[in-house]
Amino acid sequence: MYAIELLVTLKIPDVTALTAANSIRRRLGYSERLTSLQRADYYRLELEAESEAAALDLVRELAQRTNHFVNPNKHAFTLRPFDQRVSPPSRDGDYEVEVLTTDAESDRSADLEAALAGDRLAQGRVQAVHTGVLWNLRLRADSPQEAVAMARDIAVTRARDQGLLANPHFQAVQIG
Amino acid sequence: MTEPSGRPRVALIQFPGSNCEWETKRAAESAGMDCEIYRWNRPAEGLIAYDGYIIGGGFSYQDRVRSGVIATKEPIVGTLFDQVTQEGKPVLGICNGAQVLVEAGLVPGLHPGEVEMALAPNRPNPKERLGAFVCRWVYLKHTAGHGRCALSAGMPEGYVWPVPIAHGEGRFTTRQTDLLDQLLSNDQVVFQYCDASGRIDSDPAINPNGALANIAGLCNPEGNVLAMMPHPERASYLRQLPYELNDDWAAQRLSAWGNAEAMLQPGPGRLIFDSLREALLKRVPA
Repeated sequence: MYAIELLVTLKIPDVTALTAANSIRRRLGYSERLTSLQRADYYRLELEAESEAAALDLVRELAQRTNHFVNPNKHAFTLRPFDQRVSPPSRDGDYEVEVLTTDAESDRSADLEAALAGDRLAQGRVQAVHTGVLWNLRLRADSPQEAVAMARDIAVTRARDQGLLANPHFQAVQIG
Repeated sequence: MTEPSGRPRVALIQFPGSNCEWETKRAAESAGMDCEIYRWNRPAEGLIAYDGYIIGGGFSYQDRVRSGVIATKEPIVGTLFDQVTQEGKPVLGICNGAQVLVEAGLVPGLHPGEVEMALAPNRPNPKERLGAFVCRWVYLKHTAGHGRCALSAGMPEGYVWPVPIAHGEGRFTTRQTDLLDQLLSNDQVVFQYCDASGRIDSDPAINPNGALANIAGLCNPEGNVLAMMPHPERASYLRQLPYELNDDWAAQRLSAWGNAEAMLQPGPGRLIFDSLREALLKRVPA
């Protein structure tokens, strides 16, 4: 069993990410700290394959040849094996931190699994689909630990003036 | 301040993406208030001059990130928060306005400023497998005690009324395990979804979004803040009520057919705006 992450982004500027970045900088006090913010629709597919390369090929084919994940008129996508990230890499003095928000009660995963179960390309090899929104925060920090702490503060909405990306009363947050 | 006419002044806050401001303004004015649409980018301290507030429906900031959450970070909501919590001024949040009040920590408001609940995406009806957005008429039961909430004080306890809903993220929910018990014991659950007879049931035909305990409207402990997902401004005139409801309101509308004056008589939603007016007049005597 292999787990492959499929990240789907807009080809045009993402106004949701731009608005969120504006709010984080101007209203949550991160004007000097948040360098950039990007957003992707996140899918993690667990599937049977002969090798990791074969699993990547299958997910690439599902992204390109079905309309379950990607609309090529407006979307770009990238693939990567699950859990091969190292936390959080530094670039030019900034740290990149990924924040995954998920809604455990959403039917989106079940709908996709049902659709893929009958898909000619998938041939029953996709066992599970996990969905969410993946935010990539580039933060100016003195250490990886500080970057992660800032990302958590930005991600989880605890009060009117604290946090933005997820309401913990229906969403889960993974930071790493 | 209250106008020399004796009509209280209400600010209806307009965010980019609000889309119900004109019918809400008309409903408020029909109830005897002066209602001014107040854009979010005007000076926030200008809100202090008003007696009370309404945040109407729509899609503030295009629902980016999550319904209502971007708006809550704006300075105008900070001023609103202070006016409501420190001065006790009333505020009515309708649909997107309710989402703003919940994300701002004003509702349920046990610890003002803390986000204690969410208005999560609707739970689709498993029988129909429809998308989560629901747009139809429902019935509400006024379950709070008479006068418990200033913005529903004109309704008797147990009052059942028809009102339209139109939302994709209207499911009151929380991960605080004891919160519902506190809300019930505090009598903060103002409206619950029910059927035409007043029966409250989790059936998706009755509870259209899967809300916790069928909650459609909640107030804060002080009773001066009401967050409700249904649209009372769309049930403010008899002419807005659909015949298909097959209830007393539909019968009244049928009997008013061809009589423009009768069609302009109040619908059940007007009671919310009447209650707001009365709350304002009690605070600031004319």
